[in-house]
Amino acid sequence: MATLLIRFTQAPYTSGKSQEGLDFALAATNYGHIVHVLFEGEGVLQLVKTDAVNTLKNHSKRLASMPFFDIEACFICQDSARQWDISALLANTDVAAELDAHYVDAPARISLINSADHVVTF
Amino acid sequence: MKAYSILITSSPYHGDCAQRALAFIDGLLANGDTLKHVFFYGDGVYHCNNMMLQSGNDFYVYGAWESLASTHNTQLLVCITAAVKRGIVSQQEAAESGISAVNLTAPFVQAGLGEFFSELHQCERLVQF
Repeated sequence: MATLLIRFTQAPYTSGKSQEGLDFALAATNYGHIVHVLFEGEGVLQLVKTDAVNTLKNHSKRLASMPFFDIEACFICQDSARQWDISALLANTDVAAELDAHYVDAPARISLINSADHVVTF
Repeated sequence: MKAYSILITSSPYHGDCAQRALAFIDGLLANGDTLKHVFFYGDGVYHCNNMMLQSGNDFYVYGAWESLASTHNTQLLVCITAAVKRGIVSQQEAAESGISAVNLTAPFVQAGLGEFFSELHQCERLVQF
């Protein structure tokens, strides 16, 4: 059993990376690994609740399912959140709350990385 | 001695990712470490397209993976879901869907995330390119 830190660094619909990263994270717990998730850079925008966009899968809705896959350790980079000013966007959303995500500063991010066996970036 | 899993998520000509991955693999094998598998996921599945041709002096990614597999008998696993939606199909999907060409052949082998995560239990290191 390994602890994986999955870093989400891309906005939700820029590319397929966010979706495939989430598939990756959900599959990992099915096979006995522990998953920690860190939203960094543009990745913090994934926490903004969106409506379904045409035929694209609703990313924020899928993200909110992580606790059902035993992914309970979710973190948000404080600097990125400030840079993207997501507090204004998050005011009317509860994705971060559904994930019980905690804000982390730079030293805490480093210790998250150090405490994981593997780090994968999407 | 450590067991490594290599995860390729970048496309073949995304900067020098492929060269760095292959150089890293050469280094770990020279070091006496073991390489459990290389797993191609996301845009990384484009590395496995056998219709890639060598162009001039450009680094020929497909040939480099082929020669790694033939020299070291390396397992090259390709995520089937990520591959088929990008048009990287094996004999089976081509036959099932009436596609006239097959661009995923040995030494590349189709696998699922399940296979990757199961084998990851036996690896001390996971390195992504």
